[in-house]
Amino acid sequence: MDDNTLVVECVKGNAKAQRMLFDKFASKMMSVCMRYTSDTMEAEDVLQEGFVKVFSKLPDFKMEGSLEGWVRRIMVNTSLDALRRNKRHLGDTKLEDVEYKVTNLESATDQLMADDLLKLIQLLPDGYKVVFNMFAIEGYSHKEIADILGVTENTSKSQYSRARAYLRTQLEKLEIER
Amino acid sequence: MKDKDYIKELFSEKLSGHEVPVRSDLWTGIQSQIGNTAATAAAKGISVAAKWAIGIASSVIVTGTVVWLAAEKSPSVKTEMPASGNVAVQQEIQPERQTGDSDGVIKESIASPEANTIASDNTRVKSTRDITEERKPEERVPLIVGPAAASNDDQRSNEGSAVGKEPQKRAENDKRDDQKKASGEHQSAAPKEITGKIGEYPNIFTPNNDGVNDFFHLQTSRLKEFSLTILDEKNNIVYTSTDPHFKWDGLDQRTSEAVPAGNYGYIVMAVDDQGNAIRIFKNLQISK
Repeated sequence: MDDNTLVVECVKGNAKAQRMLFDKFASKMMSVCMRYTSDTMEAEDVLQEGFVKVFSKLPDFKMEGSLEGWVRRIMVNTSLDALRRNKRHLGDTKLEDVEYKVTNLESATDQLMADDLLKLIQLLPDGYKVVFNMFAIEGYSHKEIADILGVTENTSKSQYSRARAYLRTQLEKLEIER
Repeated sequence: MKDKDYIKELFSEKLSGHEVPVRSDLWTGIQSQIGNTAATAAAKGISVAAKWAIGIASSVIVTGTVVWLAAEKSPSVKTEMPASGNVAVQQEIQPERQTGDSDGVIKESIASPEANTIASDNTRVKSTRDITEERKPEERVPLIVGPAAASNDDQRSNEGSAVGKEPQKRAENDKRDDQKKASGEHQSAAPKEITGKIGEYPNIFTPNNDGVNDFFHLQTSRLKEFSLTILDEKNNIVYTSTDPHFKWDGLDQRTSEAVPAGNYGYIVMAVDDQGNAIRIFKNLQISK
């Protein structure tokens, strides 16, 4: 079943198709949700909420773009909503002990599994996490991020660069301690 | 500047298509919430029958009664539909959860050689893999059993900056655990406090009997299990100990001769009294 048929069937209320759509995207979207949250249970909550939204908004889906991209955007937005709801500040979190140290990371990171990277992201303070995810992985521009989060473009940039520096130190630590 | 792109590239390359397995019972929750749409469809299917019933009924009874009848009838059908759906889903869960479990095991066995491979990064490269594989079973036996995967994660998160988050997170988890226990789910337990401690990890020592830094040892406390292996550049084991208070004088355990100066590595695998696994690989330089 291609995406369009799948969407049509889901909108009709075909339970099988709905299950298929869930199965098709669930694990990818779980990864997205994990990146924006700090633990599995939180991510599962967001994932559930996100999928409920997906199904309720599915009739509005225009068959033009990619379904996966559309679902992913909903997941990102749901994650952001969840963060806002938890009244965490996306604006200014402080991250202490960010050290800048330049080493050659290639050897270590080749070995790192995506899972490890995911864990590193989860450890970031929320503000950094969101900006890093949106910029580095989802590919939003700082301008877009600023608009979505209601912060200035500079905040977005500086949070991104701090997140990056933090991740770099963490990678170095991993390299040593493995 | 090149570094900047590197981090971004690394994360986006590894994570943009990344997948995390999902508990399939999540679907049940989603399904129950989108039940409305499904029920609408179900109602459509039924509506033919309903109309027919209404048709007959209306020919007999007064219209007002019929409206009341139909209204009563269709909800009762609605509730039946999702229920049968749930049963089907529940049955599917069993096998999938099993795969999930074995997944964990596989991951663990992958993780272990990986640790060893990194260990040998700069100096000894070629022969590492074979040796690592030979040694692997022996190393893994004592420590990495069941909960290692989960607790290892705990450990790592603890190493990061999230220490402060722990209590809060635990509270959240506890809360949710309670909720979820009701439905008989088995989630990874709330993060346990890491009680075992290994103090500083020395990276150099000088076994030359000058009275300064002649022994290699670790400061440990509250460990239930402990094992240490020291390897030379060719991945020969020059020293092993299961005593957390070991003191190594730099003598090769096999020959009782002093090992030559050079690069060594040591692997610590330990379990603290809360069952958290600790695995460390460090370089150790010996100079004289």
